[in-house]
Amino acid sequence: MKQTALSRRAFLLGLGAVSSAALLSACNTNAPVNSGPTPSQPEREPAASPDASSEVTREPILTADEFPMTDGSTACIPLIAQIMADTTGMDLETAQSCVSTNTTAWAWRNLSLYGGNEGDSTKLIIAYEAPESVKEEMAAEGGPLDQKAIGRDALVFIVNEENPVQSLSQQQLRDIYAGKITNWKDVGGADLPIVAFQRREDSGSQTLFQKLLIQGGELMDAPTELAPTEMGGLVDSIAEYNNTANAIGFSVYYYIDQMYSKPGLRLLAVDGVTPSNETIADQSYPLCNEFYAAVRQDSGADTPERKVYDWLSTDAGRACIEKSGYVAVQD
Amino acid sequence: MKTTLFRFGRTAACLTLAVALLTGCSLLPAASPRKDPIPVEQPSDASAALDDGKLRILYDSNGSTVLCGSKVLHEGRGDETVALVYDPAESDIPYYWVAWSDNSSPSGRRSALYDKTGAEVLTFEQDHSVTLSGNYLVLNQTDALEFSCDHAVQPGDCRVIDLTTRQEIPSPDTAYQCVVSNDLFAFTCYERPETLADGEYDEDMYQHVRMVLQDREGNPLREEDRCTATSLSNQNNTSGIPSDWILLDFYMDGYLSQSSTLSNTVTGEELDGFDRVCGNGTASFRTEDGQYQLIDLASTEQSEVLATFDRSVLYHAPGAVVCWNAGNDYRYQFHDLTTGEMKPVYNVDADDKTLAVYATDGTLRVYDRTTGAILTDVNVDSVENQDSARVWAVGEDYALVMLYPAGDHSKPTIRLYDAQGLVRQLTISASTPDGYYYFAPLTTTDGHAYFRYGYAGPNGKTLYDVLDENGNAVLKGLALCYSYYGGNGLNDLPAGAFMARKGFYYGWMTPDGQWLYCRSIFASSTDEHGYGDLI
Repeated sequence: MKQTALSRRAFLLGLGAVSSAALLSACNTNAPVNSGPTPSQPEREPAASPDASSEVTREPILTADEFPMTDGSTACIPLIAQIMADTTGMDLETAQSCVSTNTTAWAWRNLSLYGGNEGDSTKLIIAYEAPESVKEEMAAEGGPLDQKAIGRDALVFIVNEENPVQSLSQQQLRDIYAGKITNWKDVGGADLPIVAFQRREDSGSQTLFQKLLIQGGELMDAPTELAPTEMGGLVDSIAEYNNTANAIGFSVYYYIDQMYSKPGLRLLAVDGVTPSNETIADQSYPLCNEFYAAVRQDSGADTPERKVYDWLSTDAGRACIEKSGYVAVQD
Repeated sequence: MKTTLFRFGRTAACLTLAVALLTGCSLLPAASPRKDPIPVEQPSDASAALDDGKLRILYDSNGSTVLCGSKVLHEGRGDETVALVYDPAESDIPYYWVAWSDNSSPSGRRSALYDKTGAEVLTFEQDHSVTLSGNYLVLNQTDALEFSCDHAVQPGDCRVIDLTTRQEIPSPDTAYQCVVSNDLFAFTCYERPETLADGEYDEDMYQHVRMVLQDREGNPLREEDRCTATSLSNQNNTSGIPSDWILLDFYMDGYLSQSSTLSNTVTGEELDGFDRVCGNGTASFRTEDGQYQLIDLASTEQSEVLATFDRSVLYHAPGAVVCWNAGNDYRYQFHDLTTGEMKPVYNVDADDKTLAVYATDGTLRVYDRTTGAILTDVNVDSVENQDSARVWAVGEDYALVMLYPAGDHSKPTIRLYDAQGLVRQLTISASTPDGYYYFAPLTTTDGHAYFRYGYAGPNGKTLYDVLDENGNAVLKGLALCYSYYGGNGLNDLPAGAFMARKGFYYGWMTPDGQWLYCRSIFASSTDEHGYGDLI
């Protein structure tokens, strides 16, 4: 009997362990948030992942020549390429060669202010939210737009991997950027001054930072060297700043996770939640925000841009967004 | 009983946990499958082709990369300027230069000189335009034009450093540039008139410049008012010209009225009326009676007049000269120095190695620029109503012509020739868009010639295919594709390699589609300015 009781207990414990393992392997297909690729990574850009989203048939709705002039945010470039490939049947790598963007602010301007011009004007954008100044310009001088959220990204905070701080609360982050917390030791870290990087005022990530975190509150002015003009420049700066672990900056999750990162960086958890596709999808990560597709309101139903715009709300469109590694949102 | 409940409790707990976990899995929102990140670099099986110990720069306005062979020495950022530092008279490039923004510096910039191992050699508190002359590092000011309109920007930051001793050569207080020749230093100085207000532009800037020639100890040997000194290496076609010659520009009445003189720092010979460098150690000079003399500057002791023409000379190869024919029916004029023959020319193409000449009588010749040997000598059948043409030497084995009929230049006839004659008339295949957008030679390797064919792609983007000498597309859908700048071997790529962007990567590629080196376009990207393409 003793053996039977032991076996049953072992069985139940084993069942629990196997169930847990099955859950973790099924639901966490992701590796832990990495600190970025290293030059020695022996792998090429993968083809479209063979996942559930690819079970949706990829039927072209346009020819390659019909694809509308599209602009957008830097972090949306891979998605724009995938949209182009899926809607036209183009080879993905060729589609990647065809994508160029003019930054968040200019994408919105190009559509709203200049999209009605003759010739190769912008007809469709895939972009993060416009800066307030650009919204004002569009309201004053631009043509009306139709826009909808098609995906969700997140404002993430980056530190050097040597920084022992793993998580900060939103209030702590606000206090850091207001200049009220100036030393890492005040938030559980080493006795080092906090060097807080920002971006330029009209950048997409600075807009997100202001909207989601600062929310009209106090924000210290950053010296020029702490406000790099480039997304990549901010990442480089944090990785290399004086070779010490006292720098902090921010970017958008997709960019850091997929497009450009460097060894030596780590994403902070915010309010105890680490950013990931899962925590962005279920919005347990607190600093999420949508990105959008937009066309001019006067784009007719049969125009290529309206077709792509509508297609993005279909199963195929959402599958395209997910296949690119972004988090799709429902209409 | 208690034990039984405990065991039941644990049992229930395990089952409950298992059920909860398994059902919880399905309740979690659908998360996007996580893709592998885009690597900053892709590994290359062909990178060994770069292992020649040469310094090269993969330029990108968002941050350039410096390599020595296949080893990355420096990954730049958008605020940096990066340049190779070399002596034009030498084939090796021993250093590179990086300048970057730094508000802690008085000038707002810092810079440094690095060697081929990536080791820092010297640092500076500002940016410079840098050249090498023998063992001298010449640091010219980059803001020379600004101090003509602003008292705050001053000359006087030109420096010359002997790299073997690290000794700095004395320089005049107001010098902004220097050219070195045979241990003599020709400084150009500027003194802004005090009568000008701050912000007032000095419209007579070149009336206030002065050339000072001095020795290593700073002793002035010669001074000339309203004169600047520059190196001939700034011009094209300078191969073969000794470094003994420096260019002196004299300004009689503003910058539009000038005379140019070549001065030999060894012999003291001076040649007035300098017009242009013509290659193979020669230059063209305008005489007082309006003629143009082609002079061999590389001859020993004294320069030698090779020939005299009534038009400006453009290019020279031993036995062959091409002159301007501006204002006439054909733009160029060819002179055979051996036979004295002269004939009008549709078009020419010249680099350091070859000179291609397509004449209106149908002759197509390619000359070796150094020896004058005729590499190709064929006849080209013109097209109906042909009124213009273009020609390229494609390596040393081929020549490409484009023949345009009068009234319709949209679809030229494109032909490839070699020493035996016509290789192929290249036509647009059915798979390519109607009409050609852009077509030009790209590279040669292993006896093959390759061309880039540009056409309108989706999203307003120009795409490029690479075609071989038979017109077959060996690569398709490149976002960028062009030969790398060279000239005197500077930044030359291994044979057959060219600059390309495909997908999200840019770098150096070979005609079989292999990367020698590439980087992700996101490795240094900007979302700030509206410059459009990342690369």
